[in-house]
Amino acid sequence: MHTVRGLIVWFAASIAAASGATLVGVNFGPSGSPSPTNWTLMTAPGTVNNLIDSTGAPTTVSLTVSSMSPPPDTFSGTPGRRNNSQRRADTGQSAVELQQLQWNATEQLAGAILRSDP
Amino acid sequence: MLAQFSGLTPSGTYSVYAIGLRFENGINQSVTITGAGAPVAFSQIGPVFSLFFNGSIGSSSQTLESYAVPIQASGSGTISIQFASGPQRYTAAGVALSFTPSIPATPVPGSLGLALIGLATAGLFYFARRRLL
Repeated sequence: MHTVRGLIVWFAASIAAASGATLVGVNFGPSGSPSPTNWTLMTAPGTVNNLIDSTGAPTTVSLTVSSMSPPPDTFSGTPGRRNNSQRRADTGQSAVELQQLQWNATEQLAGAILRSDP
Repeated sequence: MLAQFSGLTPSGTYSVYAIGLRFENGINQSVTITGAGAPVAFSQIGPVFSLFFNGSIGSSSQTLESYAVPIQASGSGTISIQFASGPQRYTAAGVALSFTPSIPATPVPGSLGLALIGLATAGLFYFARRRLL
């Protein structure tokens, strides 16, 4: 029976691996900004090599952020976390719905914005 | 602002996300994603606190993947995302991409292999059950 169980586990794991996708995410903001789990915080234009994926494993992927017209770019530390009522007012979505999206990241990303000066 | 991913699989297809958000005055900007083929361009226009995933305001009723823009990496393995100001200055909260399938820890058999493994598993179940009875 151990052999059978082992095969079943391997079978399920193989299917899961076949259907999975690995996300590489970067959010922009000042140092110390909250980041979604296994997202890379980028605090200034430049290059980050070997970005980690959503499992935390390093990849071969790099990201280079450079200024375009109109320069300069500034990193703004806008409010990160807000309370639930504000969150609903801001997004039109409930905290529960946001959790369904698994995007506490939305609020965290919201706290970190790369913007152009007017 | 230009954000360029590199080190990608040349000509590989990726799901790309350009995330825009603004706290003041609303958002009105354009985004252009460039890989191997023709650039994909869209606008992010919405009221204050709109959180855009590519060309749509995000909704918790949809998955992240539903907002994906499939982009083929260039022959040198790059994908570029350009945020450009419209009437409002641009605001970029983040960028992301995913590649499918993920790199598995063990080789993933093809569909025929999976079918054969399924049959073998069912057979083992059958014989194991007969031995227990």
